[in-house]
Amino acid sequence: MYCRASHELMSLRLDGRLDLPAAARLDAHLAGCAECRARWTALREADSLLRQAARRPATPPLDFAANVMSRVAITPAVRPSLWERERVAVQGGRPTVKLHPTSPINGRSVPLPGSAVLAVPRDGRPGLWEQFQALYSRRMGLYLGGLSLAGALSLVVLLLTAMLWTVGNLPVPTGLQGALTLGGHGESVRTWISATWTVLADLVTGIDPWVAGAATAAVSLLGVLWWRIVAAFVRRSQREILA
Amino acid sequence: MTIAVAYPSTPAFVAPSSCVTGLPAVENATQAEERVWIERALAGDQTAFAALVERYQGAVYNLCYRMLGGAAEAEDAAQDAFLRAWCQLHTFQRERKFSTWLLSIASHHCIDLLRRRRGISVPLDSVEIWATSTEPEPEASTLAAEARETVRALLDTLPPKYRLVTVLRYFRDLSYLEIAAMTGLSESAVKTQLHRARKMLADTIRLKGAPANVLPSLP
Repeated sequence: MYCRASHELMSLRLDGRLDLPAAARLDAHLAGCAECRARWTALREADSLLRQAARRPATPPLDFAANVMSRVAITPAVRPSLWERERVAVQGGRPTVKLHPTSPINGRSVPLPGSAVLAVPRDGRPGLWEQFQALYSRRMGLYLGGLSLAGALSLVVLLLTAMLWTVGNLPVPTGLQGALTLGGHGESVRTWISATWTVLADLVTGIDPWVAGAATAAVSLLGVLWWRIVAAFVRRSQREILA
Repeated sequence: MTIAVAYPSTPAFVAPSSCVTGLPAVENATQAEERVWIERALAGDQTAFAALVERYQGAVYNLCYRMLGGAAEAEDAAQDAFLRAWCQLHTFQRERKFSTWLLSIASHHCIDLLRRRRGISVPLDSVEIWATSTEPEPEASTLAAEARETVRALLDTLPPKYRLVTVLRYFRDLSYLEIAAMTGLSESAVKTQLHRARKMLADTIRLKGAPANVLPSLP
């Protein structure tokens, strides 16, 4: 047996994972190799040192649990974001949580692991902005975002309808005819909208197929790039997963 | 010359309050109880989490103590590990063992700290491995303190990942498979790392010479 092979056997023997034939081979090698014998002695010294130390466990300070809980009390459990939950639903794996930098509490810095969002207890009443921040949640952001999106969409629809009315493809309801004259400036506004509509229509119908192809390719490329960014993000968050 | 020493599996440290025993039935009961605590903690119940802290503080603190070498550092790191567990409790997969998950958080944290510390570490040659503690000790515990200092200095010579497998093997008395589950390594990688770690320790001992009080039981 080579010395190198015997070294691995020694480690296994220390863990009691060596079967009898292998142990016999190791013994045979040790009997004939002074270098390995010295190594074996040193290994056993290290082993027995560590085993002895393991018999004397270190005990945590008496107030350890209390200290942990006082930090837990000011650290709300962080829920995974909507994006994380979606990502987990689509890709599997586990959600991760971004931990924010340490926040000062009453002027005192609280060390956190990487850190976590802190509910900062304050003297006095919170201001308007803080109240809004406390109210704000991912769900509320979604709600507000959806509301503004719906608003924007209805504006666009209104604008398009107005355009159709002005260029005369659609009969204008009689109740709205007065409003569309816009207090005497109706004619100029109608001309402007009509001109914009014509330009837009020309743009859409007059597009070169080559340009359209190039635009499609560019969009696909952007899509690929986006997925690379997503993949990098996912890899990074996987590295952040602790367990 | 024949060396045949049987190494019994030493009862390494187990968490206090007699919670972890080897009996499967008891273990199941323990785990069921834990699952209830975890569910309650997930719902925001801090007293349930406090029960988990109470149960595992010894195990986590010990791991950190052996990884980092100092009591103050160990306490900070162990607190951080629990806080991290609290923040990320929802990422805990129910089919895993809670202790494995918690200790893997603690070990990752310790490795991070050690890596950050590496910049200010001193080269091996300048370390007085068998130096005794400079603090005054009662006569009776001097030997124990010396041995503790020795072990600390010895572990200090290992790079973080080797240190982790060594600490898990000796101070948590985990099997290769359990270490693999905790570190995310394969079982054979654990075997190799443990082998290399021991080789380094043995080399250090041969280089510096072992203290006389270390080996009372060797033939």
